[in-house]
Amino acid sequence: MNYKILLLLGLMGAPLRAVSLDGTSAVVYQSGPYAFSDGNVARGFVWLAGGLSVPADGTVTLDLPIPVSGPITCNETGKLSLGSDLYLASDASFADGCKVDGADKSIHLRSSLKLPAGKTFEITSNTTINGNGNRLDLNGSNFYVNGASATTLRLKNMVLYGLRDLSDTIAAIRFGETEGHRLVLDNVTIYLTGDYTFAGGALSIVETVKLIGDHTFNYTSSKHCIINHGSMLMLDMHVTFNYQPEDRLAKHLVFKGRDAALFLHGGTLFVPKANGINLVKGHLIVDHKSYIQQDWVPDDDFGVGGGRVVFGDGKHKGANMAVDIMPSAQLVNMSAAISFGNIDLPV
Amino acid sequence: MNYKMLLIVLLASAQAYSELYAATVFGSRQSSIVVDDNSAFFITPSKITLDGGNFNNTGFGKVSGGDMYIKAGTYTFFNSVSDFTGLVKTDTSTIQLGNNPVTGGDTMIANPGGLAGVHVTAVPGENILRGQPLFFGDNDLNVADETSLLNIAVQNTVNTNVNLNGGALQLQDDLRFGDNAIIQDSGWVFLNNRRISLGGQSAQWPGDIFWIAAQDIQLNSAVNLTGNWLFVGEGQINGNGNVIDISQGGQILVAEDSSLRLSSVQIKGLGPGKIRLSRTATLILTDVVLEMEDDYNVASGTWRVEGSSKVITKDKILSFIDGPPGFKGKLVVDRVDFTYDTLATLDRLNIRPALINDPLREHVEILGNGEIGTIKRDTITFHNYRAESLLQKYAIVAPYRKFQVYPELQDDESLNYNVLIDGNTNFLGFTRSDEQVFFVTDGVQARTENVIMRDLSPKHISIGAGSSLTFGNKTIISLARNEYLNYPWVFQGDTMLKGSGVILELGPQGAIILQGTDSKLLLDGIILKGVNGNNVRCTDDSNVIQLRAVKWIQNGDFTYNTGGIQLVDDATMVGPHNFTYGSSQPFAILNNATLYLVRDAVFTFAGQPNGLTFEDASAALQMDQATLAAPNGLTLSTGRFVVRNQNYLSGSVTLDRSTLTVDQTGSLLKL
Repeated sequence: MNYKILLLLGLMGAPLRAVSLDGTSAVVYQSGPYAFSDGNVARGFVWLAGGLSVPADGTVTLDLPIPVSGPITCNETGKLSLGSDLYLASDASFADGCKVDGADKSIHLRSSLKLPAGKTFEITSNTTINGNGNRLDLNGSNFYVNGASATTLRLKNMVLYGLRDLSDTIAAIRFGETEGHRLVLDNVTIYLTGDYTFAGGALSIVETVKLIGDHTFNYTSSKHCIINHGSMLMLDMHVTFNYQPEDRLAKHLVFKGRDAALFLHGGTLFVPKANGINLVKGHLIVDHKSYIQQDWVPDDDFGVGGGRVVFGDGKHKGANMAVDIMPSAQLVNMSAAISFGNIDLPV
Repeated sequence: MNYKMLLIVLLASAQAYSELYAATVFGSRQSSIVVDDNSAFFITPSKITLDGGNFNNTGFGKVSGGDMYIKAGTYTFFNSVSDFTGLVKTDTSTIQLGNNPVTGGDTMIANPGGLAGVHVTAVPGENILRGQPLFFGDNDLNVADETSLLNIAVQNTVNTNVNLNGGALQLQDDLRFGDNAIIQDSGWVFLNNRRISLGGQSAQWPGDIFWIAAQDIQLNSAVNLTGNWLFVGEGQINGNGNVIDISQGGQILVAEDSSLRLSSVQIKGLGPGKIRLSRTATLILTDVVLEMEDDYNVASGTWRVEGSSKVITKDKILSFIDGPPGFKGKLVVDRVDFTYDTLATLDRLNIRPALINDPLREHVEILGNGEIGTIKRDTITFHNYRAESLLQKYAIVAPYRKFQVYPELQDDESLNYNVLIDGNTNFLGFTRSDEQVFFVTDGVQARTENVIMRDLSPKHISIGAGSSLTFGNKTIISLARNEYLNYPWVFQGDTMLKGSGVILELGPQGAIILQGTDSKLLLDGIILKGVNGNNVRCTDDSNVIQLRAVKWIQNGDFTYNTGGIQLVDDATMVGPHNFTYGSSQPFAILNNATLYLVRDAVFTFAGQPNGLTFEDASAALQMDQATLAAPNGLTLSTGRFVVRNQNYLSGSVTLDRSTLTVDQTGSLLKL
């Protein structure tokens, strides 16, 4: 469509006060910040060229096929309810914290987005943030998944920068009290800017997920971390994935199949002997000098009173944890007790 | 790297795992699983396969559980790297080669310093161990059984024993054993034109080893061979002067159409140990010493002496004889000397047959002026307890080379205390030491024969408790200086005591005793002092003491009652004591001999009235201030009677002037 025509149509129909914007029959163009009222809806060809605002504790529903430009102000507690996927134009930004009721819809980035510092973005229903290859800079803000049971935040196709614990109790991505919340990382490169603790929810790895940065990703949730078919969690140089679930069970790192991979690309899989870990049915790929590390000390009798790092089950080929060590790569067993139970396959 | 591509590739391969790949795949030989110190790697299945990469146990990690088959990869232990296709048995820290189901053989190539403390067991198949492994266990190289072959090309010293278990070791490079390492048991060794150097520590080799084409075996210490070494093809042992002791039953065998060259080696114990050749086999000796402990017959094969060699036969016989039909033993001496040494035993032509007894050269052949001969040696203590012992050559007896006479050990292992020392007409030369150097040990009744004991001193002799020493037949004792004898010297047979003018003084316990029958002792050139009582005597009337150039000086009265006395040359009796000759046997003054009685000597002749005889007119009795008494009467005839100065006669002394020449310038008074 010719956007000039749409612009003219929008100018002709511009409202004089904060009301819902209906672009279903004509283009609505707002050149400046548009302050919605609670319960307003923007639907259809509504061009919010100068941003928008949502009143505190209010809810605005956006059902827009065209990108939103300018700053978005939610007054910390205002909620964006998505009636369809939301596209953020390259100049779009968030001015403060926000609640997002994704309703299984996606927020699409048209360019890199830097969140305002120290703010909370509360996800109240299933939401996908699709970076489309752009960078999402958390900038000290956090995503708080806090909807009904099984609310899922999917971060997709992005570079997620600044994942870290913000304080002892607040992590850059965290979950509310309700059970079943989930974070899906789908083709995401994560730059850790500090140690990060993943607690409370479940984690799904889809496509390639890279953890980068000289920091630790603490997995303390008692829910599964699932690496899906055709997916790979990569720990880049000096990244430590600390598998330390609260329930101390060894089974929470789940590989959906042998095409689900944990790729130690110079990173470390740290598993306290207090819990151990079972690596079954999946695929471990090693490049550079990578580590499987535990905290056994010389006086320990390996395997007594602690958990090992277990590959396969020693009985069934189907439970094998395939291991590929790339050319010149090293998998270093550091103070760990590896129980290597892979069964030979036909060669 | 494009990780998405990588993921696609790897995951695609992962999906095919169940069909094509081992559970663990390494991208290159440098791809590694590292079990760091203070880590553990437990293998749950009975065996896992690591394909193409490196398994690195840094040394203080714990690797246990099932076995680990490394396929065309590397194995690192204590920072040492070995290229490896084989099995690591984790529970025993053993490396096994030969588990490859396709080839049956595995390979290990140890880089320098590799394989610390790891055992290599080559199980069935043809396996290869190369490089520079270090072994710290005593028994780290094992071949599983007779179906196993280990090809070995180790460039550094192998400091561990090899256990063949009937299997085979084939050298692909020179093999150098450490000082305390050996092949402990039985099996096959193919030298394959390589050298094997045995360790520098004496060791027992108990196994039966087939040495195949072993052309270069180097000894660096003694080998106590109690097993059998069979050489097939061309073999050579270069002993570097070391000993192979086969005395405990070891055997060196050479197969048909094969040869074994022994070079610079000493073989001890031939007799109990055997050197056995097949019919067409050859034993080549070069600079070899063979020591025999029993008679030995060579009834098959050829001994060829190409370099000077020696057999220490002692009293044993090395014979080259006919064997079973078609077999015969032969000795060929090729332009060199082949000697035998009987040590202190009689030469019995100890290598037989002698040439004269083998005119057709069936058993002994000498080429190019070679020679079979015996060795004359200067023994140190010649007596070796054997009845046939005798002095092969003169010997010098000195404080640094003492002569000890022990009881003889007889064949039934009993002891014979009657020991004959046969000088074989040689001399024992005594140095002028005052130390005891000739010992007759306790209980031994020693007797000399056919020997000259040159410059012997009474001080030299030690007689043990209950023992005795008799100077027997053909024994000549010469004194080199004035001596004091204070214990009996006993003579028997035809004997001689020479002084060359020195003094022999008899002490209170000193005596010269001539025993036996028909014995004769010649006292020659001695000033004999301290004579009294009967300290010079015979024990039988058939015995005779002869005097030549003897000055007889008594320190008390003396009586001679048994046996005779002969003057074979001049002798002088000096007074003032009484010499009483009471024997029934003649006192004979022989041709040109004179008995001088001087300086108040009293010669009482109490024998037969005609018992003082002159052989002829040249024999004389001269008195010079002396007394001649004849209580039983005495007639002097035939010889000369010379009187000088004042002399006395007592008893009935008759001068038969018809035959006796009296030369009297002095007086002769009748008492």
